[in-house]
Amino acid sequence: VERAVTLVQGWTVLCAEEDVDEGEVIRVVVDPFPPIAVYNVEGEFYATQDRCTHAEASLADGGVDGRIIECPFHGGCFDIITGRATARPAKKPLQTYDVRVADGHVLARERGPE
Amino acid sequence: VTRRRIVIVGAGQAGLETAIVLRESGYIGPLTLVGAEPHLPYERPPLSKKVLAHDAEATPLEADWDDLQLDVRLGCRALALGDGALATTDGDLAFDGLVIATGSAPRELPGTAGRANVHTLRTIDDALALRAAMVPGARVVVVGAGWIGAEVATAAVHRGCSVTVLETAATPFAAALPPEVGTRTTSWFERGAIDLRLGARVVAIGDGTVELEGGESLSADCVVVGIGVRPETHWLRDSGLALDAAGRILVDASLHTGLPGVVAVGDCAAWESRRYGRRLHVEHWDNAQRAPAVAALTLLGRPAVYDPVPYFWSEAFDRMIQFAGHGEPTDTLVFREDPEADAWAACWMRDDRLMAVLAVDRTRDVSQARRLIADESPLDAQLAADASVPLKKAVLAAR
Repeated sequence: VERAVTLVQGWTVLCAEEDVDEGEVIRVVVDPFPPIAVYNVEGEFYATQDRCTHAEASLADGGVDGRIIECPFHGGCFDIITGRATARPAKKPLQTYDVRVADGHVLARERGPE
Repeated sequence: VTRRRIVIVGAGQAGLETAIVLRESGYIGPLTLVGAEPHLPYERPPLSKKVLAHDAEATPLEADWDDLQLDVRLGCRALALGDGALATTDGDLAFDGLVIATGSAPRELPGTAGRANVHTLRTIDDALALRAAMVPGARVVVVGAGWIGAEVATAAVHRGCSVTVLETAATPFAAALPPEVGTRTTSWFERGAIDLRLGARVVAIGDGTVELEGGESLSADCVVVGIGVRPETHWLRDSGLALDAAGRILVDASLHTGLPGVVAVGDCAAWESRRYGRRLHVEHWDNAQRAPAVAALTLLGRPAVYDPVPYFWSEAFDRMIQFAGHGEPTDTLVFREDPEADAWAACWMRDDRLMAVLAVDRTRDVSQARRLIADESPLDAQLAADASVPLKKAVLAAR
């Protein structure tokens, strides 16, 4: 999916809501972000960096189990919501993004300082 | 015994991972990690990939060494297993619990030991020696069209070598894949500018030549032998441990050997697989990564069962090749083809059950298959044969 539409100031459209079924993940490439994995966890949308922090896999090719994404190459796991690594060999957390839904679209922006 | 001492013999992926899990599981007693190589634990998968093809250096395994509090003995080789003591080249190490994670070693061609132009690939030192020999224009002959052979051949072509791969079987990857699947890979060699010789048997290796059965002689500056592995268990011969015919340590579903307080993990162990109803052995990274969690708990006296869907991957010919599960020759093969992407997957089906999958540049198929196999989900074989349908959408409705 390739999109680069900015509807709301500071937020970038990643995809349409209907692009990501519940329990699924897709890979989205939009400026100005590196590839992003967009998840639908029980109707809520989340976004993390798509590239696994352990090796070179695209997490969107992996399996979603609840709020956990499992890397398709080496089986490392991450918490989709926090980005935290939950199973080795994954160790470093994923970059996560602020996500909101507007007019049927999933939007993201860089996560500000906590 | 209030003060237990655990010794882990083998400082590869499985050995270090067992140490990490033991500490995570609350074991605070003395813990010794014995490694035959002079290096701290490192990743082996890159050795036949990035290290060989792209000048990468060794990748040390990540660990919080300060927290682990390990007594690490490098360059130390196990010699024998006695009653509560491991004999090593550094002397005897007494233990209450022992983890055997000595892995495997490449099989060699008879009569080639010690020849400078004949390489095998297991350690970082092997990889660096081989890389140094792979100079542009070098004539590299790879013996064995298996995963290591394919990755080495890919790297050698990348480095500008002229590459021949010799295989005794009629199809590549014959030890792992049935002929119908293996034959689909012959074009990879051709397109990769690799001269693949099937049904080719080496009778002798000279200085600069490889002699084949039938009289042909190939020029070779460098010979790489990739004909499988043997478990590193020769030191256990008189230990009383039960070994199979190949020398693998027989362990139960909890990875326990027949000896009290002794567990075995990784390449060197053959475990009782409940899932497949037979003994399995897997000489791949995933097994070395996952089995330690079970071995550590078993050693600490907690219940644990190792019952994975086996998995491995290979990167060769610019392709991501992934395999999950365990198939039998009697299974029916169903192919998923995406000619446009030059990607495909083979599914091993037994009635309506998916037993195994080989995926070529179809990572999603493998992610989904691993779960479908684990859940024993029944599949519609016709839907499974349609590459445009996600594999998990081929699941039959509950009956």
